[in-house]
Amino acid sequence: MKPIRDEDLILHYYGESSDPAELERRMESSPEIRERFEKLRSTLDKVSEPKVPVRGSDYAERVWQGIEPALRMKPWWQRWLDPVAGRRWVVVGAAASLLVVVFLAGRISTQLPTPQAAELVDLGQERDRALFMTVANHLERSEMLLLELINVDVGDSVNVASERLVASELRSQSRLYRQAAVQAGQLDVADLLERLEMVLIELANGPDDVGSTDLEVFRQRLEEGDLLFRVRIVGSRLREDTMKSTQPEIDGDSALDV
Amino acid sequence: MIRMASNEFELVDLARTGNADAFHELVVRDSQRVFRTAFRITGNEEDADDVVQETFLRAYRKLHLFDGRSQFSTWLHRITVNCSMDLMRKKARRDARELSDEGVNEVRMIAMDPRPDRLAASGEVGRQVEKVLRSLSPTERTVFVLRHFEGYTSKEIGQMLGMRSGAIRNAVFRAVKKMRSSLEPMMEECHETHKG
Repeated sequence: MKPIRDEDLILHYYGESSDPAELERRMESSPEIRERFEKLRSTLDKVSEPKVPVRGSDYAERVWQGIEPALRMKPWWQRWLDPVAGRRWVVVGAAASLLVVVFLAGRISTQLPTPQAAELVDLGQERDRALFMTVANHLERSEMLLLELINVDVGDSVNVASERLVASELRSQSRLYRQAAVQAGQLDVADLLERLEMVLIELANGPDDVGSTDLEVFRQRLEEGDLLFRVRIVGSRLREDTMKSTQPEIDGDSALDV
Repeated sequence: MIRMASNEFELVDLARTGNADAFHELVVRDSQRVFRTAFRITGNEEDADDVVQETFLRAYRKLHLFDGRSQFSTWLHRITVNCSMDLMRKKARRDARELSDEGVNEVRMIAMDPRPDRLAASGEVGRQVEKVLRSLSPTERTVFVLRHFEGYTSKEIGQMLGMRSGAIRNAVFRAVKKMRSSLEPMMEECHETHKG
């Protein structure tokens, strides 16, 4: 006879048991199961909704005042099509041209026989900044995924199907970013991405249902390898570097020159 | 004309044509309900206010996608739930960035510590429930609120959040487990005290 798990009792409590009649029969024949269910019911019955603060009768008006200015605005695509805003297209055109130049420079810079050093440095910085920001976002998403798995509470097993999908997506991205990091000379970032990729591959290729022992082993490996810590530190550093490089130089040497 | 539009479908049709008064009327009808849902999920008044505004803005921008197969209020509820969860995820990401490894663990341990002696004495089950709710992940909390307080089935919640029922049930199991591990020692202690 199949053992009754806590999960079965929880589903029964919420009226979602696949076979409620069978569960009732089991409880009638087993005081132990009945007692477990009564204990669960007694606890969950006490979980009452936290008191919701009352909003006054003018609340709708306040909400309306908050959103009305935004509603009056046309959607972004209409604003861009507005002839008055035609000059924006000039900006868009210039930005697009710049992007094309940056992209092409990245592709052919190694073939140029006599590059202008200053121009290449600028373009390289531009490329690095885009890479840093992208990798920082990627590390943040990976960190959230790992934290979710670390903090999951398991009974016999836990279903990680949705986490596997995320891991699969992140794994593909991780590989691309690692290659880009190598090309940009960011070897420590590339090394971290490689380690992360290994974990993501393992997750993505694993089963939907993971046993508590396997999950515990996974947690221990993460903790021992310091991976989560490094993901967080490197992510923060890349974000800070990006922010610094986008800020105008108003202090330091340039400020002293004024 | 707006007052004559007795049902929400008429109001939605009018709002779709750009009639601001019609959308205003929908805000009047639904803002309190949206706030209640947002508060249950976020557990914070300011966050709930932000969610209310974001919900109506998102609804206005996506009004053309409302197909009328369900009630407008049902559609709006779904947007509210997703806005609330988005906001909690953003906050969780920010918190994770701000806290060091030790900090995260410390906060989590504090949040989960039932401290039965103190709580049994004060008998503050409600406060402990709030504390556990705050310690749940955004997904766990949203799912638990919808299942336990609002009575939606796992299938309905899955449709709302774009997740499979199995994942929803797992989130419920985890939330219930955390609730139990926090509340039951305290309740047992109370029981013992009364017996003594």
